[in-house]
Amino acid sequence: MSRLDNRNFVWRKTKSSLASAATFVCALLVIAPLGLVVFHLLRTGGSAINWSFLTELPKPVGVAGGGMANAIVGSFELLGLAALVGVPIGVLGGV
Amino acid sequence: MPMAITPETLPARSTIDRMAPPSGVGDKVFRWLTLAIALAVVVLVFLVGWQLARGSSLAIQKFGFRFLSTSTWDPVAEQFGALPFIYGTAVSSLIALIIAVPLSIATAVYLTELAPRWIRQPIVSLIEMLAAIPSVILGLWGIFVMIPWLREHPFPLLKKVLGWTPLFSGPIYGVSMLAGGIIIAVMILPIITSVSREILRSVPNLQREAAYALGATRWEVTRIAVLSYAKRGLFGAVILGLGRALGETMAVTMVIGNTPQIRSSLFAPGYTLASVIANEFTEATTDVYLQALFEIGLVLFGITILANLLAQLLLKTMGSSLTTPAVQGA
Repeated sequence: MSRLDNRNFVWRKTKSSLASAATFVCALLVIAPLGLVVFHLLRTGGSAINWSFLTELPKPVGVAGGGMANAIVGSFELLGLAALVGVPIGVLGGV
Repeated sequence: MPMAITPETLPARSTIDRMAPPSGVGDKVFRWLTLAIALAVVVLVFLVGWQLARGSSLAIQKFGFRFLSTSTWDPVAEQFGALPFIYGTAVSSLIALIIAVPLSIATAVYLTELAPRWIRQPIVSLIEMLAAIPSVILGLWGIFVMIPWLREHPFPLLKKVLGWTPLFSGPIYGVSMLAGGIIIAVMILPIITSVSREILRSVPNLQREAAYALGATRWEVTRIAVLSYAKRGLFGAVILGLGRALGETMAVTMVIGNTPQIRSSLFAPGYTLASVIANEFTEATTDVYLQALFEIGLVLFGITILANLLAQLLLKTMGSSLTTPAVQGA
């Protein structure tokens, strides 16, 4: 009788560990895309980033060099404008 | 903010004398201002809906109900039927939910119930970072990494094992409904996980303690005391994810193939409501074309609003069930 109980208990314990392991694997799968995307971006795009890429304007097609300064500044301008409009409305609406 | 009134926090006597007696006007103005802005957010939603309806009036008049039930999308002949897009949105979202829901709920369970404490915060931060990846970048990754890989390995395998069903038959292009569904799944994983995590955390500890007291193991506590208690709230989290899935645009557009057709095979390319708007808005040269796109927007708007309302309703009933006698008796 007591051996049966014991075996049952061991089985339940095992099941609990199995559930932990399975959900852990799920958690890994959820964060896997993040790792894959960052890895791929760094591998293919990492070598192209240097100071002039960040600070220069794009050159005409066919001319070597140039950068993305206009796009970067544009993104920040957009961010600033959106915050300027959205933050007061969001905060006051939340109050 | 209530502040303890101590001699230090009181202004100097002379300041108090100089201050006007509290009239309450400032309070009133502030209250009305905040009310107006809160209402403005609601009005904005209605304005968007109204504008969409107005913008599509011509198409609504011309096609009527046929717009939703026919599947010809021919801008040259000015015949517009939105069925392939509605189908594409529904199927890709469904695939996304089938993949994302078990994964994210299991992750939420792991993070609230089963994981060792030190590992929880790092994983939560990583998942939040996943939510911060811009949609375009995910799409780019989808085209250059995910699709070639899917085409080489999982798709042929699926075809070999399940090829006898209509779902996994036909040629494999790579860009497909299934790829679209997978990319949407990646995009809705973070939201479902974090909402589910909040819901599981809101389960009162009394529930867990009662189950532990009966000698339940960790998993049994989770299954019996936590999951069954949180069922409805988790369902709300899923619907919230569905709302996101329906509206996903950029990443899906990049991997789904953009072909307005209805095929039973998931390997065939498809099209979604959001993608067609993104792709064709700049090309819409005739009035009817433009208005048909507006009507597609209206359909999408209606579907997402409905999904969100449903989610809110479910989450709310979850919140109020905290005080039901059944729980107090547990």
